[in-house]
Amino acid sequence: MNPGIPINTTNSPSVILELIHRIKVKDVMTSQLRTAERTTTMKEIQRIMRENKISGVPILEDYRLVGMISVDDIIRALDQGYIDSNAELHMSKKLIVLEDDMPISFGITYFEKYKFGRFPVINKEKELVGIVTSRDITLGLLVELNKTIEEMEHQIQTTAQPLREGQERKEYFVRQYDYEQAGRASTEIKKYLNEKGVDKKILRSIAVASYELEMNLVNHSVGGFMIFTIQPDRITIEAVDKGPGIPDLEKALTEGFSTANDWIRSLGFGAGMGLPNTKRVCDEFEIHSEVPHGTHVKGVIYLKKEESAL
Amino acid sequence: MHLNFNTIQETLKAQVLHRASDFNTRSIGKVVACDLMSDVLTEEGDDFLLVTYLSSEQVARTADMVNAAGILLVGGKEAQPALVKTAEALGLSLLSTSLSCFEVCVHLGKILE
Repeated sequence: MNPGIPINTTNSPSVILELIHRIKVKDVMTSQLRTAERTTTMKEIQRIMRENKISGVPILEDYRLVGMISVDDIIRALDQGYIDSNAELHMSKKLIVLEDDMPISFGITYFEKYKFGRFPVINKEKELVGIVTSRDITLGLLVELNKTIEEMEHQIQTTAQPLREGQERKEYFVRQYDYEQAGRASTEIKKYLNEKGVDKKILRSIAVASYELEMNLVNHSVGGFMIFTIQPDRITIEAVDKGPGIPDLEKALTEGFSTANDWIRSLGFGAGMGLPNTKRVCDEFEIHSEVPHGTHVKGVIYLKKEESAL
Repeated sequence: MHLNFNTIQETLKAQVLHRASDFNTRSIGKVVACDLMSDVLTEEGDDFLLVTYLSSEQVARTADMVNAAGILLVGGKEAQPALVKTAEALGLSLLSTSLSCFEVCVHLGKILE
């Protein structure tokens, strides 16, 4: 755990960790700067702040950062009657700066550690190149997060065959560790098939297979799709994900074998029964998996048992 | 003797968190006491009462998948709001008792004898 970052920095979804390390301070900082000099008056700086709607102005000397005036300094100057004096007398000189090549995880830590509203950003040559606020980080992260998740959803293209006549298909996107949504695809498909009049006993097998596979996606994959293809005589349930894949399929199909962590177990899953139980309730069962590319599980349940047995 | 929700409520001094429409009529064939939802999914037969220490939403989803009659939370575990909501949505009776799982099973076992 890294102090100052409110998420677990070893166990969190890798995409988030990758993000806070990949995005650099320079990607989110503001580089259009309003600066002042040592001899600029506090009053002039107050005007710069007001007109540009900013709360901090760096004081420069030959492109080098020598101080910082914040809105707090201006308030104090107004309060104590020195608003007409020069910035150099009142600026903070002990500055905490960020470097433009630092990952934003540093930025997040700094805001927690130093309680400043903004940090000046310098480059390798120690020149001021930007300013970063916690708002910049929030917005920068949001934009990148949105882009990343969009890419992930595109990446997970379904591999299902095109629909034939008499077929119906329902697809649900299932996210990793999303326990609030977990199981909803299965609940919905069960309700839908119940309304279509599917035999209760068969419906139960479908529900169990679907729920096991859905919980597998939530607990073990990077996220994926549940695809239900409904035909008059059968329902095909597919769970497709893009990783991380199962290293040993034989073991994964053994009752009691589990790679679940304590957290998953505390939720009542991870007993090592998921795949064996799915296989048990299905009439046909296939699994393909490749590390790290992903897993494709396909279970078929016949809707009319007598006819299919022929 | 016959097992139903009213008997359970009385015997175990259980609190009813959700009274489904079949509360008074649903008969309960057997009891499954288990905290592993994966194991519950391997149970055969409908109409069982799921007795568990777990209090998450997944308890209701699991119970629904296997057509369980209802859910009894034991050990005075407070139900998570999402569990109560899901039980309501899925039409599952949900009860809670401060008795331990073992005590609950002893009581229910005697009734079923």
